[in-house]
Amino acid sequence: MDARQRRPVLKAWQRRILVRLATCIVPETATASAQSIDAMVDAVDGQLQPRPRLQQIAFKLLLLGLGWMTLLPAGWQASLLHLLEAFPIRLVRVGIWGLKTLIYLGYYGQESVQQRINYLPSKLEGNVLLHARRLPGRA
Amino acid sequence: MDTEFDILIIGSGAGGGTVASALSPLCADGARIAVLEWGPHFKDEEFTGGELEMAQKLFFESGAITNRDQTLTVACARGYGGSTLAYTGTSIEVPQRSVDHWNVPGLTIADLVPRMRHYKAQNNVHELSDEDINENNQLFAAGCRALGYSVKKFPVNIKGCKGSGMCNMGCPNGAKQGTNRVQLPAAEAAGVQVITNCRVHRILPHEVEAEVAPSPYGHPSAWPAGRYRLHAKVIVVAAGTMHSSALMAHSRLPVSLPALGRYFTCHPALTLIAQHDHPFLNYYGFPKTYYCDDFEEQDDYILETCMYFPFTTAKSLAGFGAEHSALMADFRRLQMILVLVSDQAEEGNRITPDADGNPVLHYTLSERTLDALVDSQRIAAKIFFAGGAARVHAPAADRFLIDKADSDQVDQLIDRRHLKLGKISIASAHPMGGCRIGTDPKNSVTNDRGKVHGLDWLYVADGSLFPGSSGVNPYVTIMALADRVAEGIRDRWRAGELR
Repeated sequence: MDARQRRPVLKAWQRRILVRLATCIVPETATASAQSIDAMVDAVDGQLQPRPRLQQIAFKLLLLGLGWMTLLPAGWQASLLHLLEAFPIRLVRVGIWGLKTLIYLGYYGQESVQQRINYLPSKLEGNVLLHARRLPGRA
Repeated sequence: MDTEFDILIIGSGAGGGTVASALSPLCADGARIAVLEWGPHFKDEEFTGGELEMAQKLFFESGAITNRDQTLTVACARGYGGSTLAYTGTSIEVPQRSVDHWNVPGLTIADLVPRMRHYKAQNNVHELSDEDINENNQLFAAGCRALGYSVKKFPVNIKGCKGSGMCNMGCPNGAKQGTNRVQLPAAEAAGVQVITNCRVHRILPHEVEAEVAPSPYGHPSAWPAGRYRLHAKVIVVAAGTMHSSALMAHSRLPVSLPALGRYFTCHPALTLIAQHDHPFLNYYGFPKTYYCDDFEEQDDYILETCMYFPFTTAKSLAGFGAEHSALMADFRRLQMILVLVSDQAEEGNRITPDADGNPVLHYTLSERTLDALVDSQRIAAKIFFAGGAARVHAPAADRFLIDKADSDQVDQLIDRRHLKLGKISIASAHPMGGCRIGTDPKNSVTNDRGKVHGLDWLYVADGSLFPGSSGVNPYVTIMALADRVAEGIRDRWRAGELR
């Protein structure tokens, strides 16, 4: 189904929490363009779309549970998330892993971000560039 | 269209594609053979190399089917060629010790070797020349040699490789010689029908319920969308390890198969990432050239080179925030090693179907597997440092990065205490078992020729046949086992049993 025709899984307030949490997971999202942020959230939504309804609800509950954290100073948020990432209860760790994974997917899955981190593969000329010993990307 | 067949093959990957090609000569003798493939037949231009796009197109659940406790993800592809679309093409023969350990009467290494070599020759398996080996691989070899470990080149099944490095997203140049390039086209040329976009919902005696659904990708299916009841004298299930067990259990077959879905193994794996001080040529060229199996026999793991893509890399790192971003900031400085554990076949690790027939994986990482995952990280870290890395990320370390200055403390810094399930990304691309070969129906599902116990019309021919872990990348072994299955069916056809 075309992404434009899909009904979003995440509501506006859930998207806002996700964006705020993303600044803790990937700090550079704080200064990313609106276009990049929208692409990140859309990609997360796109991943949730085909998942079973229970998984969607679990993710929304996680956002709800972590939403209050985004009111804290950035340093505190990071400390708390680190604590939860290694929390003694496995289910909590799994939830944070899922959140991180989706944010990484939404951010590092973008072509513009991949270019920025010097990931510039070549479909046709990988071996040519290898033999020429030409490093990709910026100096 | 015809709904009566002699042989129906469900799935077109390393198992189904092999059975189709091995049985295709029977078409000249009047046999009606069809392959039913759930996924589409992708057009060449649809292999774009886009990480997220290809993950969604090629894989079930974007490559991350999770076990029930969500501590492991399993990648299973679908499409014309099955998981051979998405593997790296590394073609290692199963070692004798694995086959001996399986201990199945009639299944010997002497029988498997000629079959594996036949398909290796058919798929142009060879070792890369040194000039085509990039620095990500060279650094691994240098590190292993500096430490006195043996390092071997992977035999790979490529032809005309352009070094895109995108093997796991489907080769954009058609260079990988999977069943989509070799066995299936040959089978079709000989008269086998391949029906894509066709999901089998249920298997009944000599019959399957299937559905063709339109796909946004690929060539149109040979059949119009709709539900079908297809009849056959013999049905071969080769839907991939996860889906074969789930489909058979969902079908409620007319025999008791207590071992169905059980004894699942999957080579749980971790990706380790090191950072060098300077950029180097890491992702141009073929990504997976070397491996070290010094630790397979005693310690249950092997180490392989790998080079993944940005999102996959980011999620492989345990941690987040500024240190994670700093490591990801320049992809050209990253070196990667994959560690894979030969997990034990345990009855409780099993696949069951959900209400729709999709696989549900019940898998617990054993203490032995977890110990091997920790030990393998220590060895990988030493190889990184011996190869010149400045910093190493190991998911079971007490810190995000181990600095070279602390490289002599790797054994202490990487510890089982820090390996927290659910925090780290343990992944599998080698699901095996569930319909294991054996003689006793209490602990196996098929005989040594893949025929399901108690049903002379039903066979299995994919990775689910493995009685235990192969210990090495399994696809050549799957082809050899599928070839044995095809041979048994061919013998019955020639004896007149199936006409």
